[in-house]
Amino acid sequence: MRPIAVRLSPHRLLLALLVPAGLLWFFAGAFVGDLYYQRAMVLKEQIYFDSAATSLEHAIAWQPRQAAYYRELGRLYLAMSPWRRDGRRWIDQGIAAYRQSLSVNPRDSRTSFDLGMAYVAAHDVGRAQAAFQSGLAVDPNNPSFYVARGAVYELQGRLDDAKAMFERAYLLSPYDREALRKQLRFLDQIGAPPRK
Amino acid sequence: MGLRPRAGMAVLLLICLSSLVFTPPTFAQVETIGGFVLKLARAAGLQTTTAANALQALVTQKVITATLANSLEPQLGFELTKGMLARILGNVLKLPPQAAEAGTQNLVNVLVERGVLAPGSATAAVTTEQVAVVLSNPIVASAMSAAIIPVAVAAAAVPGALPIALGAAAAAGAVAAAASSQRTFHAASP
Repeated sequence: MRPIAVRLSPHRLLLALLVPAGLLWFFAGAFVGDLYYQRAMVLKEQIYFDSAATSLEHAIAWQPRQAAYYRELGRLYLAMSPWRRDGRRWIDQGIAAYRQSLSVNPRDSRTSFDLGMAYVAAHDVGRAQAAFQSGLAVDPNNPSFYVARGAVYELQGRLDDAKAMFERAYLLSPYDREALRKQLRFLDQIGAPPRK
Repeated sequence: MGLRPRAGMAVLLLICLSSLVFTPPTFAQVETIGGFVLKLARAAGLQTTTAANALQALVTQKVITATLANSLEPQLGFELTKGMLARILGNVLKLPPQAAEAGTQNLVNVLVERGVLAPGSATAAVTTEQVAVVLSNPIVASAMSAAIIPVAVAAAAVPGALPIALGAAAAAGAVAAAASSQRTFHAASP
């Protein structure tokens, strides 16, 4: 076999170098960001929250337009909050991360739900309702939002509104309808008039 | 000429694929009390290497009481049951003593109602995966942070978690009735 000699013109040589370099530049961020993200998820499973948060921050530095990274960072901060003495600070950081995620991808209803729950943890039911409402605008048939809104209305003492939400969830949810029925019965007992 | 390398590649591929097929499935690993204490300390941001040290650190940071730590110390190597998990979480959450006095199963039920634990017997063993859910799930965290939260909220979480959540919602009634006198949440209405 004779070796094949390939001669490239300077232009082609330049192109041969530039194309892989461009591809590397384009994909390196996604690749390295994903590596950090995967590492963060493993650390989170093992309850190394601080290391996981650092890893996610690295992932975000490589891919600042990845909404899922901010959402996971928010979830991580929220997960830290009940175990830390300065829990409220972690809740606030979680809310900030969720909001950042929604600013990148406003149509992610899961993040809206998580944001609503974070506001519930912060005892800010007004903003919680707004977050659930914006999630419903994206995903109007998701019973989770109706359950959450019903529960928040119940906390506010707005039993009629709570009941309407639980009824809607009852119609939409294929799961545990008995649980929702009990919840509705309870609302009837404590004062919400039966709806016609 | 080219047959041998191809055959070799085929054999290699077969070995790789069969290793996937015959890899034993991962079995759920039961958590020990010491393992959980270590994880709890890590969740609280404490740097410890042994369960005994973690226990002391948790007491120093006032995450749990010294009384609970003393009772846990001789049991660190034992299996973590749902009842024991509920006892530790109840202590972390500073639940009123009446909840524990009414029995371990009652304590489990209270935490189920709050959306912190999934329903089950107090004597059931707790796996490492279940511990990870309790410690790292943001919805559980919300349920714990807002102690007044009625159940149903915890449930709503994600579609997959909905059945559990709604299971909790069922008990919401009883919890809400008990907690109605203690709620401070109403003032935060929009």
